[in-house]
Amino acid sequence: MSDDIDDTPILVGEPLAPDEMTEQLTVSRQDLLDAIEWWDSVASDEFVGVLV
Amino acid sequence: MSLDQPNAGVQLVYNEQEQVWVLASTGEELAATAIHAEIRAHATLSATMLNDVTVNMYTHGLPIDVWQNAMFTELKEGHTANMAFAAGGVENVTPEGIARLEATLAKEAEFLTEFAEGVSNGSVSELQARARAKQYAQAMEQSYWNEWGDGLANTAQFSHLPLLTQSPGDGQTQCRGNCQCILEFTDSGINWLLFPAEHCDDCLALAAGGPYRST
Repeated sequence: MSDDIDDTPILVGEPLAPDEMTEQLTVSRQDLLDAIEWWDSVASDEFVGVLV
Repeated sequence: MSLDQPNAGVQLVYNEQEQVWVLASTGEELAATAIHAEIRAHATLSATMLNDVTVNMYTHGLPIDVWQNAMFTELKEGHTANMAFAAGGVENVTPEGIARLEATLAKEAEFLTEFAEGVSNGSVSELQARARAKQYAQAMEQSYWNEWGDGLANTAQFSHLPLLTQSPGDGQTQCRGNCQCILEFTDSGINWLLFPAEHCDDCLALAAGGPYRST
């Protein structure tokens, strides 16, 4: 066994190509609703509910 | 949510005529500094999530494409929420606002693809990746300012002013997503304000170069 320990992380998979992300680049009504949920999950008390 | 129809318990309402958020209790305009602080707090929480998912990729075998999708999903929600807040809520979001947001998301997706390629080919280390992930979260603030500034200073009164073509956090300054600056609208136009922090040369020049007009 070698004394050298290879700590290089082993990464899995390949990056998405730009055209594989195209579908995600449009913003739908559902995205707006998801954004409300995202906002409310992190907002301070006085900012909760303001996007509705 | 409009000023005329505040929901019980909600402390902020949007004044559609003035296009500003106001405190329901006093009618006072919500300060830009308070908005900046809130958006920054959101970014901090997002940064934690983006850091965690990045660590997951390096140490627990989360596939790069899954990491990339998780990163983009979080960024999309954050950018969209910030844009909707600037618009006064989702019911006030316009097709033009959506188009601006989609342009920003396309740019972020392009950056993210380059980032993922760097991760994949090893030119980006784990520590660098985690630091960069944090910057993506902070850069979400640009979608607030992009929407906020639309149409604010585009009348003949402001036509002699230079056009402001960038927003805090949009990556066009040396400080990129770390930008702590905010924008202010007055009768003189839009000012680039240096919020307490260290400032890069680009932001110092932008602050000195105002006021500006907008599109």
